[in-house]
Amino acid sequence: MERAAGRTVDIRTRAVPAEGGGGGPATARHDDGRRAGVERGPSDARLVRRAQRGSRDAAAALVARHWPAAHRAALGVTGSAASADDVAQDAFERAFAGLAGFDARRPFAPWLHRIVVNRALDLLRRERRLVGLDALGEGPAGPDRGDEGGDPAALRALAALDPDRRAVVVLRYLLDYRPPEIAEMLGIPVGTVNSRLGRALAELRARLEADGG
Amino acid sequence: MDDLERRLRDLRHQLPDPPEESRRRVERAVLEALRARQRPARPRWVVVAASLAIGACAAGAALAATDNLDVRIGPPKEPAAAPAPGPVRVPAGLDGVALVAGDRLWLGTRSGLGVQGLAVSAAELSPSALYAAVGIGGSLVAMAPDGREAWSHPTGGRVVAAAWAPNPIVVAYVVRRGERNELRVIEGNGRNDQLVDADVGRARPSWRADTHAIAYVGADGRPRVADYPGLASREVDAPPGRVSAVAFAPDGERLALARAEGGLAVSVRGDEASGGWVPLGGRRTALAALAWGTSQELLVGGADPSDPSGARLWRVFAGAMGVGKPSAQAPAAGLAALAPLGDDRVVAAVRTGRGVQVWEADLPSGEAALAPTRVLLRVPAPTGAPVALSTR
Repeated sequence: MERAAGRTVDIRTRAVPAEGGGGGPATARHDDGRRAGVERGPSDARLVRRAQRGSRDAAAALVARHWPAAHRAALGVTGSAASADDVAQDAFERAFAGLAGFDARRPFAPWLHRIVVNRALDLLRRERRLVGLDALGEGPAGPDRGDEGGDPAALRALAALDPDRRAVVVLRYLLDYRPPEIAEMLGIPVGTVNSRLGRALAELRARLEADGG
Repeated sequence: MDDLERRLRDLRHQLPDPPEESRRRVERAVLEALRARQRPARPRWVVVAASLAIGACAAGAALAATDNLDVRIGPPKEPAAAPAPGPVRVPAGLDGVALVAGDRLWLGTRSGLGVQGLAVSAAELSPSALYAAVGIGGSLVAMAPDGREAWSHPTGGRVVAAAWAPNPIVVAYVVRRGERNELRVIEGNGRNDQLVDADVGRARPSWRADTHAIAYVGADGRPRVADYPGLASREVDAPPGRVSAVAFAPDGERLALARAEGGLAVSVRGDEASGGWVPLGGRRTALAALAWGTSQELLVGGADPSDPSGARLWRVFAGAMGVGKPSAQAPAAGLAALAPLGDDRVVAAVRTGRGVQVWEADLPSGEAALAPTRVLLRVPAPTGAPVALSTR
């Protein structure tokens, strides 16, 4: 490290892995952040570096690439399209506000999804705390009407899960993260992830059976 | 993988794509966040020093070109945290102040409710500021200090405006559903939600003082009034043009209308002195605020984007609607919302270069500039973000 004219000049050599890969899951993710295939166009790492240098085009490209998956993650956890809009937008704003401190060698999507899911859980907890839903005996809101896709029974069952269990199910099955990755994203032990997944699946099976689906 | 796990994986293909409008909104917000974090240009000597440092490492530069060298110049890139806005200061004469700026809520009440920076879509205080009706995600939420009953009502869309009746047993709210906005009413305990009009504008509805009528703007831009609790709706007999805001006077009879098409104009219905539209400002003047003052006058804020001298604030006495000059000039950055405070004072939400400030201010006479006697709140907000103010 050198000092030049009162400012820190930090010149380091690092073994940087190939773009789009290192530091994260072994497989690259598609433009919606899911694990599969190879990224098309500039890698996330390259876009992140350009966005860190102030490139609006790179920032817009990151939004276009990651918005659908981030929105689906928020929708899966909150069960509400309107809440998903708010949560996903808030997560993007926070991510880009802190982008300068993000290590571009790390994969962008898990970092963003971590913010999305934690913001969604924060929102659900805050709503419960503010309005005392538990005390009033009301459950969380189900999916907005019109949001239901081709398996409404599964969506209803997912929406009825406790938010913490719903979050691990969304990360595991909708976003394809492995339990160790989920544990890191949520800041909980891998064992807790596995037990939440196990209980969530058991609850989902019971609900679907009761629902005739 | 069993059948259930397969069904869960398939859900990813069945969840709806997010609307294009939301992607554009987040892109705007992200670009704004990026712009706000841009550093000012470095002094020339820093650039020279940096060039020398980098030039001395030619081999390193070659590596850098292949992204195998991380060259960092200057202090760590972690941005300095913006100063957190403090709690809302409630001025004498009020029970509470709520500001929504850039989809964030700052709220303070004498009854002990305080919120800072909560992501919301709309907020409105109840009489005496005992509650706040807040749009959070896809719900209308009644927030209250500890010990008071509160509730949440799923609305199926974002609440874009709300108005708590003078008699605090009912809330009117506008909710975005698909491509339309619905006007609905819900009782103060969160029950008996009813549709008033399935296709309305986004303007904030206004209750008559006796709570037996709600004024609002229809989807066609025409002013309408619905009876309450009957909910029969009719168009108000008003001069032609699209209305952008409505406000019942505290006396319960007069209804102020503002038009922002072809220049700002106001009209008062239920007052014999009024007739057609009374123009305020030039043809490009747009409405920034409409509120009734405590001296039975209308307070009207307007801004002309081509006029750098600032937004204008008119005091319009309904018995003398022929107003030619503005009564005051708001700061150049722009007036965003107004609320009367009594004794010729107002609470004003003012746009600044870096966000929004809430001022307590004396209403100036003539064309003097509006200036704060006290700044109640400073919050960051993106340029041009919608601003709404609710006081009680």
